[in-house]
Formats: sequence, C-alpha cells, structure tokens
Amino acid sequence: MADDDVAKGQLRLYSSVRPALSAGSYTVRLEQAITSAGAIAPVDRPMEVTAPRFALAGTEVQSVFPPPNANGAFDTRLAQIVLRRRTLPWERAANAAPVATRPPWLALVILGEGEANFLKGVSIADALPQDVRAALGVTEQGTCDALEVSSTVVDKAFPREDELEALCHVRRVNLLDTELATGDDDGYLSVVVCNRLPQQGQTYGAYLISLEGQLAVLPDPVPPAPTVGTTSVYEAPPEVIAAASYANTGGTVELVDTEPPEFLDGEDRYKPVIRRTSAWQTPVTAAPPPPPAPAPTPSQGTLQHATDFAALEPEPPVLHRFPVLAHWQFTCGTGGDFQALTSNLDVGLLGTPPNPTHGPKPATRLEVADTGHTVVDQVTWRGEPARAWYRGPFVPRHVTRRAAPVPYHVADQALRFGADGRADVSLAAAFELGRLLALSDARYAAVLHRWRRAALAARRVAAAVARVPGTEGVATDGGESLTRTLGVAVLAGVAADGAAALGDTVPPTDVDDLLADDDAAVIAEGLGLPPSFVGDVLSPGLTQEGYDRSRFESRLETDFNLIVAQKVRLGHLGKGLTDRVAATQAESNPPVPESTLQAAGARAAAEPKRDGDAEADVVEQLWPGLRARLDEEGGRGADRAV
Amino acid sequence: MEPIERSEAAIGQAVDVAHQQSDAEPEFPAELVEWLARLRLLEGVPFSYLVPHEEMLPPESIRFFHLNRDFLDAAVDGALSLGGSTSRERALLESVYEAIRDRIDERERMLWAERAGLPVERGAAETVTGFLLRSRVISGWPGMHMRAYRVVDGAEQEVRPLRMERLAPAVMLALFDGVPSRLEIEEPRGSLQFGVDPAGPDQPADSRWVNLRDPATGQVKTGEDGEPIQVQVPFRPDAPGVIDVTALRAALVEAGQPDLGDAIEPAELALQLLQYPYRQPFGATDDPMEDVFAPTVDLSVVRRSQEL
Repeated sequence: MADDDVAKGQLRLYSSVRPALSAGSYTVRLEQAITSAGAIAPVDRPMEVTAPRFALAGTEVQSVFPPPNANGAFDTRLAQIVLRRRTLPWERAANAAPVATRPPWLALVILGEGEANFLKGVSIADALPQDVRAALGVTEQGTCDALEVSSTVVDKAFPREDELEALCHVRRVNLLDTELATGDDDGYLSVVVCNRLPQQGQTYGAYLISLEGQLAVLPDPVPPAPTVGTTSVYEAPPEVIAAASYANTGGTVELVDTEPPEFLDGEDRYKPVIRRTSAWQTPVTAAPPPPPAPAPTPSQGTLQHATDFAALEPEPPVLHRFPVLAHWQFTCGTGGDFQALTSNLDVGLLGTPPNPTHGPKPATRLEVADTGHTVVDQVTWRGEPARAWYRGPFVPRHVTRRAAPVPYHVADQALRFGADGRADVSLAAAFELGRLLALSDARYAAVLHRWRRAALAARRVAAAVARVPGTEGVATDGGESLTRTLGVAVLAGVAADGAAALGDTVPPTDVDDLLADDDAAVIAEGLGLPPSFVGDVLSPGLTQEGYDRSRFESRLETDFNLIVAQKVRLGHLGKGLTDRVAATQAESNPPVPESTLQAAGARAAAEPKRDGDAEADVVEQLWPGLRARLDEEGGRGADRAV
Repeated sequence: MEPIERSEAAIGQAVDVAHQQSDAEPEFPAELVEWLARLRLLEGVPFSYLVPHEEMLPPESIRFFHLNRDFLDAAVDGALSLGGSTSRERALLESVYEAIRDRIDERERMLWAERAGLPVERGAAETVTGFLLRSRVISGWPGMHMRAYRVVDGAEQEVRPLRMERLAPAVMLALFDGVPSRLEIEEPRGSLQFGVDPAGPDQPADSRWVNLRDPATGQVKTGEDGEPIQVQVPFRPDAPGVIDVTALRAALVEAGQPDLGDAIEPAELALQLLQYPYRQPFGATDDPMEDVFAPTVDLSVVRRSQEL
C-alpha cells in the first residue's frame, strides 16, 4: 500500500488487496522455551476469522450503480457495487488456491425477465448443493437469500473463471473529497463490476453472489464475437416467458386461486384474485392456474424473478443455486443517455420560438416582440375579451430598473398602454400577484399591520413634540400622559425665560416706509373710518415704529377752488356731500351736475337743516368759511363753468 | 367648549394614545424583508407568470434570460400595499420605501448563500440571469451539477447561483448572480462508472467500443488523426451483451503497445473502462443580438412606447 495520500480529486486503483488471513477457524499455539528451567507446555487457543459468507450487512455496501429502482439509459454502463471493506472479495476461498493468487469469491450478475429464480429467506441448507456444503464444511444455520438459475443462464450470462479477477479491484480516494468519497471512513473501497451490458427497455435484477466452492459451474472459454448479441438468455416470445414466470408448479412459488372472480359494484368488471404463498407451505392444488398474463411491457416497477425453467427448456434443466449477498433492481430505459440528451437541446433566449426540427409543430404561432413582450388573452373590466401585452420576470434583454423609488399603490397605476392601443399588463399583473401572495399569508398581513400601526403612532408623537416650542430635551417616556408633560414643560419655560421661551418675537415692520403723505387719509376715507382710529392703529404701540400721529391732524382745506378741484381734500366730508347731492338730485327733476358745488352747496345751505344729518351738521360748521367765499364769488357763480 | 378647545383636547388624547403604543419608530420587520426577498426569487409564483406560453419552453430545450427587476419591484409593491388604502399609510410607505428596497436587495443575495452554506457576500444583487431547462435529463438524472462561470480580470470565476430548483419533474429553474459567459451541466457524479462507448456514425450499430487511455496520465490517447484510439469490445457469442473480458484485455494490450506492456492488470482494465461524467458546456456567443434573438412580432411602435 502506498504511503503517500491521494490528492483531492484524484483516485488510485489497485488490482487487489489480499488479506493476511483468509476467513476460517484457526488455532493459535503459544510455545515458550526457558533455557534454565524446563519447557512449558504449549497453549492452544482457537481463533476464528469471520467474514460475510451468506449475508452482507447493509452498512458494508457503499453504493451501487445503477441506482436501485432507477430508470435511465444504462445500456452503455456496467453495473457495479462498491463495498466498504477493501479485502472483502478476497477474504474467502473460491477454490483451493493460496491467498495470493486465488480469484475473488464474489461476482455480480444481472439477470432479466425469465432468467432467474430468486429465493428469499431460504435456509442455508437449501441455498447450497449438498456436495458443496460438505466440501466447504458449512455448519451455519439460519436463512439467506439464494439465486436459482439454469445452466443455460450460467453459460450465457455468468462470468468465466478467468474473468473473475479482472472484475474486482480496489480504489483509494481522499477522504476530504466529498464527491468521490461519499462518506467512506478510510478512503479504500472495493468494487465488483458486472460484465454484462443491459439492453434497452428491460428491467434487470442485479445480484451479488457467492461463488465459494462452485467455480466449476462457471462456463468455459469460447471464442469471442464482435457484436452485442441477443437481447436475453432465452430468446423466447414474451408470453412464453411470462407463462414461465407465473405458471410455476413444482418449484417454490405457488399461485393459488381459491376464490371466484368478484364483481365490483354491479359493473361488468371482475378482478381475479391471485395469492402467492411462500416456499415451505404445502402446495395446495386447487383450481387450475389462471390464463397467462398478457405480454408484459417493460416493467417499470418490481421484477418478479420467479421462473420455472422447466417451462423454458425442452429437457429438464440443470439448476444451480448461489447464495445472494446483495441485490437490487433497475430498468434500462430508452431515450438516449445524458450525453445524447444534453447535446441535442434546443438552445436559445427566452422567447425564441421552438425549433421545428426538435419537436412537433406548435399549434399557435408564438408572438414575441423585440422587448420580450408576448400577447396574452385578457378580459377587460367591461367583460370584453381582448389581447394584451405581457412580459414576465424573464426577459431576453437586460431591462434597466426603474430608478424612482416611489411605490405603486394600486395596480392601475402600473398599467401601461402600447402605441397600438393594447394594454401592457406586465407590471399590473405583477402588482396583483404580490398582493395576492401576501393576502394568502395571514402571518405576513399581521406583521405588516402591526408595524404600520406602531410606525404611525411613533410619527404622531414625534410630530406633536416637534410642534410644541421649548420642549427640547423633555423626557417623553414614563407613565405620565405626554400632553401633560409637554404642557408643564412649556409653562416652566415661560416662567423661567418669559415670552422668549415661546419662541422668537415677530420682527417689527417700519410702517413709515410704507405710507406716503396722504395715504393714511386715503385709508381713512376709503374704509370709512374716523381718522383718529386709523391714527391709533398706525401709531407706535404694538409695533415699535409707527406712523407719526401728528400727520393725522386733519387739515381741512379752506381754499374753495382747491376743494372744488380736488374733492378729496374734503376728507371724509366728501362722502357726505356726495350723499347730499344725490338726495337733492332725487328731489328735483333736472339732474344737477355734481361739479357745480357752488350751486349745490348754496342749495343745501338754503334748505332747512335736517335733524340727525351728521354730514349736514359738519357742512354747517364749515359753512361760515365756505359761505364767505361763496358770497365773494356769488355773482359770478352762474356763468362759471367748473 | 369652544371648537378650538374641543379639537385641542382631541389632539392631546390622540397623542397620548400614540405615545403609549410606541416610543421609538420601529424598523421594518426582518421577517417581512425575508418574505419579500423570497418573493424576489420568485418563490410561490405560479408558473404561468414565468412562462405565459407553452411554446416559450418547448420540450428538450433550454432558454436563457435576464431577470426583469421592474416586475419584481411591482410585485413587492403589491405585497406592501396590503391594507394601506388611505393617504396616511401611503405617505408612510413612501417615506420608508427606499430603505426597504435596499434591505430586500441585500437579503435576496444572502438567501442562497445561507441555504447552500456558502460564504456570504454583502451587497445588493447585480444583474440576475438564469435559465429554464425542460428535458428528460432532469427527471432521469436527479442531482445534476450545474455551474456557471464568467471571466473577471482575465481569470475565470464561478458565478454564484441564487436559486436552483426543479419546478416540475422535467423543468428546472436556475438564477445566477451575474451574467455568466459559460454554463456547464454535468452528470451527477455519485460513484464512478464503468462502461463502453456506443457505436459511432460509421461503425456497425451493434458494436461497442472503448477509448484507449494512457495508464500513466489517465487521458484518452489520440492517434495521428487526432481521433481517440478505439478498441472494439469482444462479446460472448450467443449471449445477451456479455463482454468477453479476457479477450478485451488482450485487445487492449494489443492496441496499446508499447505503453501497456504484456498484460493488463485488473486495475488498468478498470481505468480503461472508466467513464467520466459527461459535461455539457453552453457558452456565450459573439453573434450580434439580432441573430441570437429574433422577435416574431415586429412592432417598432411598441418599442417606442415601452421603457427598456
């Protein structure tokens, strides 16, 4: 054995690993001679080296190929079984040759339909012929599995004696290589390979058999042929093989049909009842066996290896039995192996129409746009059938992600329209998909709702605290109500700092810059307010700079012409005069031009004063000055056009 | 009470209630980020959304694609819109949306790494690509190895898978974190296999062959014409596919002179019969896009109106 380790990913193959002691019973003799004293009687102790013989523990098998119950294209692969013990195929003596040169005692055979009779749980006495047992000195009691085959099968399907050594080898892998080692504990594995290639469409049973003492049974060398050969050992029609499998009378498996067929629920169907008994029950001869089953299709499931070779061979066959240590089944399917399938794939980007050479012609032609959109049927919200564009999460080209991180809130926001008028429902469908998936998960909805409620509550608190002035640093946790805490803090701030705690003062505005000379009077007239009131408002008081009050000392104009020309100089009196004029006009028919204040004023003065007429009182107060002027100009009033 | 006083009391009461519910603004729950990241990897998405037409994934085909992030963002928006029908909830969502999206991006990338036991690389996922494979190999060879590679700084680097799953017995979906330049699909290794090669196109149909290997290197020997040296397998006559092993050994020795010596040991025979798992590569092509992907409906008008 080489000392250097195998590197990872490498494996090392050995032709054989022979044990130092083969299995069997030994006697150990201990002798010791003492030179001074006498000899000591030798001591004998019996020792037994055990090895699997009729059964193999499941843990001894590392793996098998093809995998059990697998269905695949194995027609170019040889079946193999990998064992954990590196010396197992050489531990027992197949023949009398010494350990160093004798062939392995294990062989792996695969047998198809109608080629074997598998006996489960027979006694060891039944598993081996009498003479072999005697030669090997088999004394074990118990049960094991056995394989019964005819000599024809042995000649055609079993390995020859000189081939046995070539079919077993040992390999060594690095333990850290998980793919090659697959859980081995010391890195050494022994492999037994079969020499028969499976044929397509057949189910096989693989058996690891013991050839101890039966090497003479194996076939003799025959010149080889270049072709694969036949499909099975017995080139018989399938129904003959099926009949041989079921109609087994003298051997080990009985078919007992004791009940008449039953009718199911009044329908015209019946199911035949077939019951199998095991080997050691006394055979019950009853009704004749049922007609043979129809030609079996390549069985995908279990293969019943229960063949009556007498039905397949013209003369009574010579049968051989071998103990079986491990067995499994597999089906060699049709359809090409891995290489054939993967190298013939139709390769393309999503949206490429199927290659017409690869499969059946599709019924409808696939419509794919350049962007990867396809056309789907849609029912609009009005209930009309329509066609819409749809592009799923898989696209043939790279799509730039939408940068604006503003989420959609309803599916209709995500609805787009193509220039041809068809709707593009991709994102809307995605939105609804997400929504429906979320709806189906109650836990998701609960967690989302809980988070939302807590987040909104926290924001409300933060907004409230931010608005209250002077509460930075106020501890908001604690059992007390928050509003009370904030209120107390505000009051404390005001008590300490005065109005400054509430916030900054409003900066004063300079009213004087805003108003020109007569603007205040204009305001007073326009609003109909007494000028003193306007003066109060605009004076310094609430604001630090205000309008000079003295400007409000109303200086009434005495120059009559000026008053006439600019009625506004009358101040608030102008309005009263206008009203008076209007009243006078209403009384006298011919409309008096308002501009002839001279006449109006004269008339108003000549009229008897009305009680409560405030404006008239004021006119009267002013009248002496006005009248004096009017008297002065009185003669020229009529022909003075104003 | 004056209206202003009534509303003042109401506001105060609402603030107190809110204060009792929570003190600090809670972070978006990690549980929901996980759920949304799995939605981003299309878990739970019906197949008809992925492949709307059956012809987009015909039997025995493989189809490559980019991942459309807009679609996934819209799906995430749909999931987040649950129960948020008022403007208040919508405003809350809009204020945290960008942060949530970044967290989901990061989580999406970490999901597969955690499941596969790989070291975690932080950061948002890059362009995600992938393929859909529909073939018998998926049902017949479970446990296939799929690896994607790309060239970074002159060296080849493996592209991490984000998701690799069998959606149906014969359909497999794989998503990769990046744009690979080469994809390999390999037979499941399991144990080593021994076998022979089928007959080539110009060989008899019922013959089988073994490619001769150099025992020193384990590589297949090639003759002068660059083709592997093949040895025809001898069979037992009148037998169903039983190999005559002794004759095969002799034939290998004869064909493999002088390397193989006089006789071939069982270990060397095993080496000659060794069948490595088949590896099918898929590579990027330099062809222009128009040759690789041809639309069947040419609507340039549609292209103008859609965002690419």
